[in-house]
Amino acid sequence: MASLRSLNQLGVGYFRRYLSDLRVNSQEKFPDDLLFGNDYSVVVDPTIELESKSFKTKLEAAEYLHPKIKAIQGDIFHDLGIWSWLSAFYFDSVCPPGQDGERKPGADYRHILISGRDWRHSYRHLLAGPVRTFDFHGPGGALLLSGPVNKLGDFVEQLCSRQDIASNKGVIEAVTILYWDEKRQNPKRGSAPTERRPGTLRRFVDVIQQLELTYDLYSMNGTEIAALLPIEFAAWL
Amino acid sequence: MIRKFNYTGRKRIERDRVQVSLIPQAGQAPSFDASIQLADLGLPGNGAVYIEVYDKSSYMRFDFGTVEHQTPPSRRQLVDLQSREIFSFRVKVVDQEGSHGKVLAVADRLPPVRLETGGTDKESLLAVSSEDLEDQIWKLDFSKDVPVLILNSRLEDLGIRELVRSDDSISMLILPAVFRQILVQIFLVDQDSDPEEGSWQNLWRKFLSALGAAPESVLELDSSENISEWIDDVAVPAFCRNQRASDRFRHSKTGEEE
Repeated sequence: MASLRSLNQLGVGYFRRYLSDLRVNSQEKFPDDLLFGNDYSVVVDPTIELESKSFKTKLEAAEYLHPKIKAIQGDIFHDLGIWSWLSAFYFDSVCPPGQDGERKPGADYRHILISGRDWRHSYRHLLAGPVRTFDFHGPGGALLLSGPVNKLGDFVEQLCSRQDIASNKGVIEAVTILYWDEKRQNPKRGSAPTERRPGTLRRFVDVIQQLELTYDLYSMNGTEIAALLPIEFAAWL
Repeated sequence: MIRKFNYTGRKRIERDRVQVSLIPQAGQAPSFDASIQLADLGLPGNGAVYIEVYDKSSYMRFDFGTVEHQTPPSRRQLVDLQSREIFSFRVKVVDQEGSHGKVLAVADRLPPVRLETGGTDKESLLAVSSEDLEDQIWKLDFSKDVPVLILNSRLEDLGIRELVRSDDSISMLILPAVFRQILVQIFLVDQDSDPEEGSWQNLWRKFLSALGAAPESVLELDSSENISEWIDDVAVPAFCRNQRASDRFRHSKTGEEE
């Protein structure tokens, strides 16, 4: 167990340097003083205890972290220090070593929350993104929360880049009705190819953007939205 | 050419029916007040009224009650918006009965009145913001509701905003290039010959008319060659003449005027 902490400016700089070093030498050892050194972080008030564990899926991470985070007052989803410390604390989940033992961290914003309200990058933070999705949708956001924590996934990339879609319960319900395989607890096979095949995810986003001109999708539930979709989507229902 | 269809009989709420005022909050995101006149539009009294505030990727939505009983929410601070400067408002009236969820009327791309600047509702032709552009000094962004001149935030310590705004040795070099790029976007990239009233493209067309360079009065803009020629030979020179670009540049360097 450890108490939740918040990285200060020095700590964020230290974490950023570590990520940069990791890109050069992918087996660079994680600097433990980054997590608990008082020069780099402070304990958050109120004290929140966290288990050191690894998360198999984004849903598992969100279910565990959401109630912890919600215990903190204020604008928690924009708190750079806390989310960056959490990413460092759960580094084995957000940047696990591959089979060859090498860690590939990707861009800094996957681990260090961008300051301000930069939605374009904040939804890509590997812990803040899933927890915020869970905050919007609860377990109903399972489609966006499937898959390993260290991979954003195509559904997140396509649906969460715009806040008005990511936070729209009806749209996320509709996409779940179409593409979620309840039995396998995973997206249906073939539902998110990289091309715009009829009835698949990228076409869904195109059609939603057209429907927005005529319908207030925030006022509608998933079943109502699914009923508006053209025939090309029928195969998924 | 971009064609626009309205199959559902959605009504347009004229801009003069909506007044949105931004209220600055010290060190925090601004809040807003809105006055929406929906009488005489033939809308059902129980139609739901929403105000949406958005930029390219971030978004907030506020429930303002119904057409008959508007009830602004008590909390109207724009805490989730990415920018504190560049965003637009949209007013929607939504059917709650017949065809649930259908948009009955809309006013979009509404610029707010900024109370801290004296309450002027003058619409901006060009917004300015800053971003980390690495080695680039400036660039234009056309993804928002008005063109945005983005200046490199790494040069903020040199006061780059102020330099571009008021140092003629810099602004007179940059602004004609910005002007040219915006015209290329309107006439060669977007090619929207009938832009919506209130859109930034329409505002720029009005600006061109005020410069005496309205495209329709000069030539048939029926080919990209003609358009490029009109931009180079008519529009940009008209802008530079209007700005007295050469004189101002000279004065900034020598203190003399022609």
